[in-house]
Amino acid sequence: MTRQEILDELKKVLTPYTADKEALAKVDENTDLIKDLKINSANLVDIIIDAESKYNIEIDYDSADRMTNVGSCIDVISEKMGQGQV
Amino acid sequence: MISIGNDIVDLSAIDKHRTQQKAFYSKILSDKEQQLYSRSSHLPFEIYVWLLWSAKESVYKFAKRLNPELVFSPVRIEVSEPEFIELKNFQNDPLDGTHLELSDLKFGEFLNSENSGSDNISEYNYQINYQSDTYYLRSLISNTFIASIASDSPDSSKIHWGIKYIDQPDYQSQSTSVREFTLKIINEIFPGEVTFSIDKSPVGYPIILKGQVETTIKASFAHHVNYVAYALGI
Repeated sequence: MTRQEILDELKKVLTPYTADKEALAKVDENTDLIKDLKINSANLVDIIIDAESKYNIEIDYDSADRMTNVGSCIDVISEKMGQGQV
Repeated sequence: MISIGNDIVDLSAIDKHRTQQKAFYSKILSDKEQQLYSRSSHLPFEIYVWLLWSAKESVYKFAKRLNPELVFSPVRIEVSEPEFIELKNFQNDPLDGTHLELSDLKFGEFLNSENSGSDNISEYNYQINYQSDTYYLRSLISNTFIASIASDSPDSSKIHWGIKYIDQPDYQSQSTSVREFTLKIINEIFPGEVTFSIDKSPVGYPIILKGQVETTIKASFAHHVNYVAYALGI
């Protein structure tokens, strides 16, 4: 999967956790999950679990800690999918 | 006080089934904390997980103010006390603003939903060691929420803490409500003085201004669905 393909899928993962659909429509790699998408921190683990099941990967907590913006989420997902940097 | 941190969890919004899955809780609890549960087993497991989440988030907020580059790493923020001791259990009358009588806290204010009925609240005090610092935690567990504050001192006499139920759970309402709630208490603490206002630091924590000047009051805000909370170090 390309980074763009992962981003498109990631948007679907994030959708249930943000009420700010306008910000979601405009996401790019620099979008911060909490500051820009107004996602409550209590949902961060949900997003990681949803990403794990969507991509059939396991995200250890060290990697999970890095998933604060869209770009770093894509980094972690692509690494765990065994593709390294796309 | 050099900093303060707080957090709140609206228990109506947590997924009990998901919380009990290892894939979920292992991203919040350390191995030691997972083992510790058996010794604190008077709490339902999902409540234990969210209690520790709120504690860790509070410690993170405390530390982030002093170290803006800090990344939230819940598993590394570890509870050090062997067990949680319940200090106090009290019934809250929700009908008008209640001043919580906490063990030695300066002030606690709790405004619950008018139709929530009386709520049974338990208070817990415990410690967390993180990056060679000791943090003193206080948590309240009710039927409807878990709230925590983190401080660097066992002396809580300068801490003010408020928790409020709000009807509208959208982000803007949460943000507006917690600011109004906080300004109300600051104006009660410092009656008749210059107008206070709230700004946001570039890192994201609130700054309390008196006129145009930043005060030494340390503030932390939290919101989750229908609850907002503040913690102030005066």
